[in-house]
Amino acid sequence: MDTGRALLDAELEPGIPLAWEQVEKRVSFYLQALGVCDSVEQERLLARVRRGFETRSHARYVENPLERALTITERLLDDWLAIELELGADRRRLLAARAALLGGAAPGWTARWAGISEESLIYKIMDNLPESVPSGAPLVMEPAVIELCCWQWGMRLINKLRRWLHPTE
Amino acid sequence: MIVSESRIRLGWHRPLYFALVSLTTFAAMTLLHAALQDGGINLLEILLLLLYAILMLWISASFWTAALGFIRLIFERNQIIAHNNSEILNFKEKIGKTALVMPVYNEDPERIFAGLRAIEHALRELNAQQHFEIFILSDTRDPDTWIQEELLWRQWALELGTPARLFYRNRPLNTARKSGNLADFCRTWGGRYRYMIVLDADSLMSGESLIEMVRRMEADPKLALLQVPPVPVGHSSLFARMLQFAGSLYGRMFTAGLAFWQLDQSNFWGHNAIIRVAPFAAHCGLPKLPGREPFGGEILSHDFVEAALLARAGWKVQLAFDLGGSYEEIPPTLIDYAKRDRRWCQGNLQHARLIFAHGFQTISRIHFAMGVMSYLASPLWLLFLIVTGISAYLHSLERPVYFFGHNLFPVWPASYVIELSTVFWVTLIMLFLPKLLALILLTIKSDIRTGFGGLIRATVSVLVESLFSVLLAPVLMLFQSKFVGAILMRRNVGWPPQQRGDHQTGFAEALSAHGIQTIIAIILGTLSYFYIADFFWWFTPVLAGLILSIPVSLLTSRIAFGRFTKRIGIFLTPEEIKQPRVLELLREYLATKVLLPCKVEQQDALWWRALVDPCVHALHTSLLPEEAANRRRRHALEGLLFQLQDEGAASLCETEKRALIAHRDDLRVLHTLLWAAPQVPSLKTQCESD
Repeated sequence: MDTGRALLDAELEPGIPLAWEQVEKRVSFYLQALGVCDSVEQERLLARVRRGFETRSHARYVENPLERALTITERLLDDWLAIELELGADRRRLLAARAALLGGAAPGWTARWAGISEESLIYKIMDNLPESVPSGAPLVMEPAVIELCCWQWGMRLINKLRRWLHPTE
Repeated sequence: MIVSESRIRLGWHRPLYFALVSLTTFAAMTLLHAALQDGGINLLEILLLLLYAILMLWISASFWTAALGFIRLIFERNQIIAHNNSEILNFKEKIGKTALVMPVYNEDPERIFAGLRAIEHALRELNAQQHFEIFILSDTRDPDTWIQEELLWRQWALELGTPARLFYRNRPLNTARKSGNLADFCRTWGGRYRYMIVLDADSLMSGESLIEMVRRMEADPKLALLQVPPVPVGHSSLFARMLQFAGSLYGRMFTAGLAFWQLDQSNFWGHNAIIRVAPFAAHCGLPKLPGREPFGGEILSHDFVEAALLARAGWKVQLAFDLGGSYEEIPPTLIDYAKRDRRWCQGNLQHARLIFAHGFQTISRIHFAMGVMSYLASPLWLLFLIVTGISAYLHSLERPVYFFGHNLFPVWPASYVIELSTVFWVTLIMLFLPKLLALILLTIKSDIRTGFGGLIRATVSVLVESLFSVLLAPVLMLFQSKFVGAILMRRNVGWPPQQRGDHQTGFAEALSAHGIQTIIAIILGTLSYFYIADFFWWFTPVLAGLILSIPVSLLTSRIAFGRFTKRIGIFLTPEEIKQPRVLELLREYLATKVLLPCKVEQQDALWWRALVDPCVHALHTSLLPEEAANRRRRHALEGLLFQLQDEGAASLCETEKRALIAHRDDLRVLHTLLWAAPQVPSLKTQCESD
């Protein structure tokens, strides 16, 4: 997150870290943008983000607190998805699952994420993973050879003429 | 090499065609030579003869193609698109999946998806949809269009369900344009399909035709490419309706004629064709031509070259003139038509270098030459007119000498009016006879006649279309001459996207496009009237077209005039009288508002949504390819983000906006940074929308 620090250090007063109260509102808004509308769900998730935020605030280096809180929120979602769908380290499928989830493939997913619902969403999400391309089936396609008539002969002639006209070149 | 049975059986077709073309040219040349030989032939007249020979060859090639097509249509059965259920069932049992591939570049996404939905729906009505997979091969650079394509793809993919039959990919770099796009498809997924059917952004094909195309490919394992001639449809302006009428009526004769002499070495028109993937991949990788653009570099008009490469490798390339259900849209105005010509012109002129390249079949060389001539003919006609004018002027300066030496009686100069008039009329007849042949075809074939509104309406339409074609010909001649000139002076034309939707030409646009043409016509008309009065009257059709170019361009672009002619039954086409099912479906899909995923509205700045809206962002990042991290790139993107925040979105150009959303890992960082910025991103959240 080097770029984030570079960008935001200029805008925030250096050395004065923001308190959780100051970032909470933004994280809450971000959760709404993700689709977490229920206040109970929001509270639970905010509590989890806060835990991560405060744990990491003891880290030695100073980073932008807003960015830190949002990164934690995003990671929280990704980690939950990876466990929920048993994806392991398959990043491609994780991104697809996130797209399916936020696109509305599994209504009620926010309750599950917040730990309120017990209903598994694995089938709903996996059935709606965006599959933009099929698995590869490559063919070799080398450029065909097209030998132009008189091209080399013509180029040699032009080069000779050029040398004759400009012998010093 | 594959020596086909049909080539032996139909071996007389080509000799007949080329003999007719050669004899006609020779006869016309003899007449002109006789008219010019008075007092010997000077250099100017030799030039005139040479130009006339080339142009006559071109005209007679076109004339005999139409005439042979006419004869063929008289004696052969009409278009076949109907199938009985047993044929379709038989087809289904036999084959694997066929890819319907649509390469697109900054086209209107709603039209693209409506067209594809119509085609898929037509296949579904025949219960054959499971045998086709649809690929949108996007080379789109415009960031908003790119995201809209993704959202429309996702919505439709959700509706189609599993197993997935609808695929989408956007190339990070659009190397080698359309041919590179298709090559990328073959290299990545080609092994999955035996056939691919190439569609243009405005292509439409009926389900029956798609099935029949596959069936014909299955029936002939040596057939590598089958081109189904597309009929122009879909626009309402007067210009477009005239072209649609001409394309539908005369086009069928020309395609029948082309198929007559091209046989198994026909041509590829770039879309509405089925291709056997394996030989295409094996032989049609296009190299860069040596030298600089416009004649060197990437091959622009790839289709002719691909057909030639397949023919060189011994594969068959055929034109299915008898197969209907293939449609395309054409430019709605004269100026759009000229703009399209400018793009095609460079590609076709580039083929001049391939005519004598090693290894191609003779017929492929003829295709290349014809492609070149389709644009070179205009400057040659222009040169012919100029030389004729100069020659006429020089003749007007000569004073006849009636008395020689001791002759008592005057010696009258020989008159060649009959020969010159014959040359003139022969040329005109060859240009206009195909239109008459089309009317004869309608008289004989009642089933075709009804499609054009009956013989009287069709006759009136042909007359009006002929009048306009006389007026438009000199305008196109000047446009194309200008394009050829610009290309010969090594000015590149770029790759601008087409404006395909219905729209009208404004006065300022018409003035800027035709102003110079009008001035040229006024100057030339005045000069010829005062200095070569005899020539002036021969010259009036050309002058009229140029002087009237502004009003004609405005008038023909009017949708109201197009609709008026439709109401009174002029320029009717079979597709207008009884709309094919796939066109009906297209209209329905265009009229249906598609709800985009993530509750996105069409008017939203979609590239911005891909940056900040978690839903659009998640979909977009899931479609981006994986890339190695690049610190320099991320640093540049960080600069763009500063610019976006400090100066607003309007300060970024389209390329910069695209760069911001084009790299998966960087995009995730930018998303977080925007949300972490002091100012909250302006966004209606999912909770608010509910």
